[in-house]
Amino acid sequence: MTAIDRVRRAAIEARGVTDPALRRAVYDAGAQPPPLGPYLDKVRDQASTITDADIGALQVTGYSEDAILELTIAAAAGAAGRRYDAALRALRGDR
Amino acid sequence: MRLAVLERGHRLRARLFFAVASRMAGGEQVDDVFKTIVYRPALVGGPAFTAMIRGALRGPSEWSVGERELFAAATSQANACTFCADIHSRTATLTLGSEVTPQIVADAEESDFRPEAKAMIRLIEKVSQDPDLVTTQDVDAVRAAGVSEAAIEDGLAICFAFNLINRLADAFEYDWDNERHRSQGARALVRFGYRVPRFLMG
Repeated sequence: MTAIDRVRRAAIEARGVTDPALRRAVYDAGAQPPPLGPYLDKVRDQASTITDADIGALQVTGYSEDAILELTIAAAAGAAGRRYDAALRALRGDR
Repeated sequence: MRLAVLERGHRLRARLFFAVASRMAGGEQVDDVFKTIVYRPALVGGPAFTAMIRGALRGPSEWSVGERELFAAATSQANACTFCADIHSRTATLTLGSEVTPQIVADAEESDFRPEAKAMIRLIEKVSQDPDLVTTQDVDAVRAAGVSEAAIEDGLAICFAFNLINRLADAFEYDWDNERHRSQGARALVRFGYRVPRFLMG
């Protein structure tokens, strides 16, 4: 297993305050209810537009800072991994 | 940073390290990426994260260290991550020996970079911005510039690492305390080459 593989796996499986099943779904860009879903969509597709209000909305809903950290890492690793996989498939002539 | 735990929630060993590092750096703190990964290192794979970053940016490769810093900046620029695009333009400047700015990276086609590096940057931009549209033709264009399979994979590893880090930087609002902190941060990345003490990653 490469270092990249281990980083990707840790984002889902590392021990944390959130359920690994939720982190797996977040990694795979599965739909989540607001305010979590819209926040994670921003992490994946337009992270530079994230504001204090986005994080604040999660905290008001009851997400702890550790939960926000874990779910953000899962979404970010998933988005990075999807790009990496697409590029490797192109490198190998599979697309 | 937007999460207080990333500023003040660290284990004792990390806090002690921060104090020593700050003392050695004339009072400046370690950077926000460092603070994030050593807060709960297991979330990013612990030593695997350091191996990934060090391997991609400083391990054996046909690309020079400066070109790899350039690819870090190019990924960050493609993702509109100003924190990372800025600092890796600075580390590229320090390691390439010629001025690099986020704007120069954005206009790489008009730059003096080697044609091989320009071709890799084009692929990195497309992978970052339009991954669903990446095809074998895009990779063939990099091959046609004379880049080996191994070197393309090396570039894509950097692209992966910064697609991850850029998102954390923007979500948590990484920043510098002042200009001195920023320039010292760039020099520290070059000097220490992304090493993280193992006792902080366990």
